[in-house]
Amino acid sequence: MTPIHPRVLIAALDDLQESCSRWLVEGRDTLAQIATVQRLEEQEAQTISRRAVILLSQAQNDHDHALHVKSDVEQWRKDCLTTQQDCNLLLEDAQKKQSAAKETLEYWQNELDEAEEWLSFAIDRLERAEAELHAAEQNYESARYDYNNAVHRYNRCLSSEEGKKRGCGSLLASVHRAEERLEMAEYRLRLAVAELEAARHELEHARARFSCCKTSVENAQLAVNIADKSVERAEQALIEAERSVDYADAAFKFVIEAEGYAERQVDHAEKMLSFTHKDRQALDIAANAYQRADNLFESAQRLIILSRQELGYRIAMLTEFDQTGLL
Amino acid sequence: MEELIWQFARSNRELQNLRKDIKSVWDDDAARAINSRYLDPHESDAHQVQISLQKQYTYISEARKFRRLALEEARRIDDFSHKIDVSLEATDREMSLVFSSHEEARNLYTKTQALFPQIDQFIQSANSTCEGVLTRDEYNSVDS
Repeated sequence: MTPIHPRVLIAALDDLQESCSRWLVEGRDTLAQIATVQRLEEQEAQTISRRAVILLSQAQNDHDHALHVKSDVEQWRKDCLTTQQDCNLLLEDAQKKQSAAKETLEYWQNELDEAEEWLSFAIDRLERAEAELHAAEQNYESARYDYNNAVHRYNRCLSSEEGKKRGCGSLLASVHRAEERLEMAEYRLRLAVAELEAARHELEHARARFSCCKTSVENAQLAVNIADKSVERAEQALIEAERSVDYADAAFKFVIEAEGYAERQVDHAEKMLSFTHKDRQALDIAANAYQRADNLFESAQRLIILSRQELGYRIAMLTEFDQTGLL
Repeated sequence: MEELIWQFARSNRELQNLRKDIKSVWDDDAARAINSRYLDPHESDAHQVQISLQKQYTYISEARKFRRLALEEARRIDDFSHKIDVSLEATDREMSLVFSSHEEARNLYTKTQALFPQIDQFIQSANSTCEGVLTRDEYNSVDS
């Protein structure tokens, strides 16, 4: 083996020592930077983990809220359906009332027509009775006049000379005829008076009937007017109730949609939390790996420091050897 | 981080290459002693450091992947949160219509019911006004 000059060896060992120093500096710097990376990763992981916890809590709150709203909407929907049923029954009742009112009006309208006809008849009867009475009175007056004349003529005949001679038999017959006519006129007059009384009595009843029927028709008409109004209101109430059910159905559809979204939101929040746990686990393994690397680096660092010392000692020895010129 | 590991590996490699180069000029007992006592164990430790750092990097990459997935989930959660808000706002809008229609229906129900006694009263009045007043037929039968 060819001997090597100490200076060559010194230079080589210097290079080696310098390389050891560089390794040491670069290694420390690398480990420090990687420790920073690990720390930053852990900080970021913690931030995201906290966010995941918060988001899961918010998602569960959203889900609870959606369920609460759904429960409210369901209750309102039931109330609206109940109101719709009530309004249906209300409309039926209103229509029954309307029918009853119309039947009443129709009945009393017929009664009024009949009463009007009766009244008209009673007025005619009265007019006829009055005319008859007038005629009967005139007839009676005429018959009485004739009778008085006949009696007068007969009495004058009885007191006259001529009457005493020839007799007054023909005038007496005239008196009897006039008397018969007077009796008949008197009878007619009594009948006319009685008919007038009866006609007046009937007219009074016919008027009373007409008047009460008219009032009944007015009352029945008011009942119909109010019943029409009640049907109109009941129909409007039913329309509003049906609308409220439609709106409640739409609200229910939206809240079911919200509930579905809230369930999926919870699922995703749980997944997010699961990923942050996996993130944490991976970072724990990474931290352990770093810890092992750091421990090994400590050992390597110690060895490199010792080897530098040893190399320094060798370089010093070779330098001294070279200076003494023993070679 | 990959670059840092690469730099560390390069530093190791440079040291080991230098050791190989020096071996041709420095191969005595002292060299063997330093190598066996310090530099060979150091080489082994440094290699293990490198392996551990690589493992750390692998798991940090894994962790980043999970974090990215977590953030994607967060984005989906935000999307669903927005959709929930939209749906619940729509629910509120419909419910305000429910309230007004239902209230109106109930008001009309009460008002309608309040008319029924009036209808009954007028029907009763209509039917009772002529009580005791004779019809034509009744009059004629009584009269005759």
